[in-house]
Amino acid sequence: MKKLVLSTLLVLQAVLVFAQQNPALKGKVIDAKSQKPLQNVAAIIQSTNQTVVTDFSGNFVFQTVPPGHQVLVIRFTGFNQQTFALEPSTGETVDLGTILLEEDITSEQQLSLITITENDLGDDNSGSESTAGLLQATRDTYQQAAAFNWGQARFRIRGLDNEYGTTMINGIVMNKLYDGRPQWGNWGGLNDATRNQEFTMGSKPSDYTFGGILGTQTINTRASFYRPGSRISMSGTNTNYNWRVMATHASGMNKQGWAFVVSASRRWAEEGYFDGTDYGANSLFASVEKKFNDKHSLNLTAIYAQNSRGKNSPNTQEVTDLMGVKYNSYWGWQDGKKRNSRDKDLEEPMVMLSHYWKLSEKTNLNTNVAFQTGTIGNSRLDYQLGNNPDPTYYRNLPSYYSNLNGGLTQDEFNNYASIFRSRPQIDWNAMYIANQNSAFAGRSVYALYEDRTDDNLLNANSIINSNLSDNIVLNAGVNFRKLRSHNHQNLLDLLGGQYFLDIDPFFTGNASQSDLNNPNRQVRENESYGYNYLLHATTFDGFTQFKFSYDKADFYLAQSFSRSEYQREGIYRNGIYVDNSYGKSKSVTFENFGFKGGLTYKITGKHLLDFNGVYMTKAPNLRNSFSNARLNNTITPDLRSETVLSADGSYIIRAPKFKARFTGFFSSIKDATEIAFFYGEGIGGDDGGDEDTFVSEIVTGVNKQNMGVEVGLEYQITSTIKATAAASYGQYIYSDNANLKTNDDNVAATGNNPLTDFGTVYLKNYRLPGMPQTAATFGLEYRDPNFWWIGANVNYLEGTYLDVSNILRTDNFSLDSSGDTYNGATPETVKDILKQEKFDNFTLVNLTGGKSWRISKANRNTVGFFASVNNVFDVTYKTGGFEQSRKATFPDLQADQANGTPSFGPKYFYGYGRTYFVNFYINF
Amino acid sequence: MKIKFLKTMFLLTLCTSLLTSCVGDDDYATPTVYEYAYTDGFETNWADWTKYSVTGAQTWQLDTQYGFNNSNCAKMSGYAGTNNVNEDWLISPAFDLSELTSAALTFKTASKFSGNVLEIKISSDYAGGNPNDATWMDLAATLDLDTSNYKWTGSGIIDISSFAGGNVYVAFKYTSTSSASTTWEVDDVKIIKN
Repeated sequence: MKKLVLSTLLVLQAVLVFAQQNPALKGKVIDAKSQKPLQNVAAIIQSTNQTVVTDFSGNFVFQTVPPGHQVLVIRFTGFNQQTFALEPSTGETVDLGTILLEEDITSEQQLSLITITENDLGDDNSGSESTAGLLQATRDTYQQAAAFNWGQARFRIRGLDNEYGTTMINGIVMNKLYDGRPQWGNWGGLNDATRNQEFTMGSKPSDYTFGGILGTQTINTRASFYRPGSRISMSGTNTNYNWRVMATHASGMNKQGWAFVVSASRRWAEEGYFDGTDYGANSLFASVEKKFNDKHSLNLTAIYAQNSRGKNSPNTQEVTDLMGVKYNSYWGWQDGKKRNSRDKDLEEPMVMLSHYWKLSEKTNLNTNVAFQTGTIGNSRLDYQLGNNPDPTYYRNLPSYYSNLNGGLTQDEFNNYASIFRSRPQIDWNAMYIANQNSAFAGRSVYALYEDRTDDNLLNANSIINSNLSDNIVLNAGVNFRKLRSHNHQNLLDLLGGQYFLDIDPFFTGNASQSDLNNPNRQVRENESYGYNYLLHATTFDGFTQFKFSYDKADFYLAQSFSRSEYQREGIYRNGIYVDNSYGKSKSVTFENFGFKGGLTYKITGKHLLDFNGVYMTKAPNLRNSFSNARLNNTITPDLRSETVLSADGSYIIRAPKFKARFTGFFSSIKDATEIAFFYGEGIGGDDGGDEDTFVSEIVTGVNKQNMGVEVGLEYQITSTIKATAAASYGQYIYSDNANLKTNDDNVAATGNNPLTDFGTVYLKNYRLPGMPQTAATFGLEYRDPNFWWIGANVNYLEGTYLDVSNILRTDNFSLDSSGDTYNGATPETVKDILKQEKFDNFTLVNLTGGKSWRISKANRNTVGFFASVNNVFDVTYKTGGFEQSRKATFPDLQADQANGTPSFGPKYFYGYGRTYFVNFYINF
Repeated sequence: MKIKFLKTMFLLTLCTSLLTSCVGDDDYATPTVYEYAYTDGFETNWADWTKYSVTGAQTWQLDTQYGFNNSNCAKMSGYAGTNNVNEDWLISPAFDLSELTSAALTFKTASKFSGNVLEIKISSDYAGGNPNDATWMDLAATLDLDTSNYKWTGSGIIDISSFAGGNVYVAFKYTSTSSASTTWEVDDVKIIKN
């Protein structure tokens, strides 16, 4: 059999070579609306990925086409994709004639998506971030539902975090080495410029990388790939921003071989959906390509995206009951303006130089070098021996008095509630006054600082793509990254004072010193204090992938290798960790590998079976490699690589009017490490003291198992009406118990080992939090031939769970210091009080619509608008939340809950209520 | 035919794998919680304990003030103006472990003043009267050995599974000499059944 295939291959090859005088396949692509030829449209033979682009007059030509029936895809950004089934016979030219491409009027929908993805709550420890950002350009019914309909509810495909996906721009990986997640804001607002992108789901093969188990998003900014023309759009919305203007121009390739694209946008809001969330973002983009000859092209891309936004607080049920869902405790009035104390500022511009080298008709080599530098800052209030400025500090709330007195009468409650309502926001003025009246003249009691990360990242890679034969394609790549990450606490505002003292007043003597090399330093604005260190990371990875395609089946095999080396370098000698904070840590190295493969079996052209499987190990990310990176060089105890296993199987129907996909998936992640940082009162302590100590909670050996089914159905009822349905039913759980240690600076300051081993954390069969585990949608769409369309969809979301506190699930919770079970703790009471909260299910209805007009018959200039209303019925729903760890023992937790309003109850994030998005645009 | 078979197989595998690995909302793990076959903090049934004095005038007493969490506890000291020679046993009522396959013992102790360390013993054939007539096995427990101050100390989990299946007696054997007599307090004697 093998011999037969081989010899057939050789014969065919000879025939094809012989036949090359006549092109095998050709066609001409024009814009259906303007009747003008379209340049740079990609024509792709699906089985081999053989790609050509149309020339100036819209023509494309394939000299050879593999034998057997083939599928040709004509694809162009902003237009509806067209697919042709071919039965080429050797020696004859298949001429497809003129192909009309229709503008995809629904592509406007992509613009509304970024409002979801940028509002990432991930940096607030909620772990709640949807995967919608990956899917902006997707065509799959299920994936579109996941992005546009479920994204607002923080749906995650297959229950996986973004760190298990790979996001690339021009082959350069955008996932941060720090936490493995892409920072969407780095190209936020540049929707038009980043519209040329592909997404491969799960572990299916990408041409550019081995990838993860969630999927691979590849954005291409090669200048000649853009549709020539200009576009200006203006949008209004009431989500995280109010207004956006965006302008983009693409030149197309001129006769000298130059092409360029420029784009700029601005987005802003004085106040977004939640109270006191201001927003300001400016983005610039430029890409220039020079084609030197048929073999060599160079492309330079520069992206600058700056973004500043005020965050909103997660709130306890008590606070939400008092103040409403939009309430945000992070802001306060100052000089008649709302000032947010928790801003996220992002500014990390990048430049990329790409070299495209066509080594032969069948082999392309793409080499990229990128450099990114910039800052991320998350601001926060600091105070030394003053009152906690947080208006929702537990002593300000009725629950404090309720728990103190064993319940409140209605009058008493009203009284305490009105006291809280009279001062629900941060009091900037009081902090200025406190600073003026400081016991030490000029020394600020309160100050505003930011946790700053200043990164310099060098990235170089090379990707080769070669058709080894008509049936075999080789993809391979190497990738090198070097990161220098400077992390420090940066003083932003002394709030009227002269200086801030660089000590930790909760400690005494040496232990109170942030930097023993510069003790008792007076800190001014824009100076570092508190903590100050570098993280160095060097990674190298490579992959090879072979794709085979035959009449009945396609399959692929791929393997990867990577090496990661991390090191911390302390700039301060911390007073608590005198011998373990200054200078370089030991370096940690991880070597990892992965194998994957898959098979597509074509039962007929319309019915396919598809299977994918991957086994890989994954290095822990930088964030989890140093357990107390702010203060010392300690490498996380028991740090190991994760073991990742994933498989999926699909049944796919591709009939002309009916498209369907049924998929079952399974993934298992073993030995993950999760570190959470928080201010605690000393874990296990039960009095209501101040949040005085910085604790890192180190959970190792975390095992997760995600399994479920996905369905996507699309039926074209008439030529204008389309029905879509999609559903995801998953079970995402911790599949085993893990281990927990804490690092407590308080303990270290007393000269003891700061690491406390809490032993087993009983997590088995708890649900992975922060996303709906069940989602379903049904939608109808009407597309009028006169270029307008409307759509409506209804969505059901269920099974979002609260993020459980780890420390509450150790034996420390149920056993007292003598090792005996606490009084009143029975298997039933303990099980009951530790039950994971499941949020209410909810139904969201969304409406979308748009229309475009041609300005004149002479050209393809159009104007149009897109509008959507999400959550039409203004349903209130929780998207995530977390238990607090303050009451870490059974009797303490029971006491805190005894009167119905716990002082340290869970904090919740809420989704948007009714929101709208309107976009007007002009293309010329 | 072949296709149909493939499809059926595929769906079957999927369904079975789903059904066999479904996790209910109440299937989650919990931290260790001990369930007790017996707990005795000397609050009500002091009378059920055997206080057997082999030697000496002092005997095990009920203390209603200084137990763990200021409750009752059992207390013994050979000191009465001066140190006295004593051998005094505090023997539990029969604990019926016939329904259990495994069992463990915990209790708390507190002590002050130097002297002999309290001995912990277990027997299945004690029949009342002089304990020295029965067979006792020594148990290793964590005790409050800091004689400067009373400090309630958990014994740790002492496995007594080999005694499961019948009646057992737990005994605290106090001894003192004419030169030294520690005060020992015992509280919260519990038999863990899980």
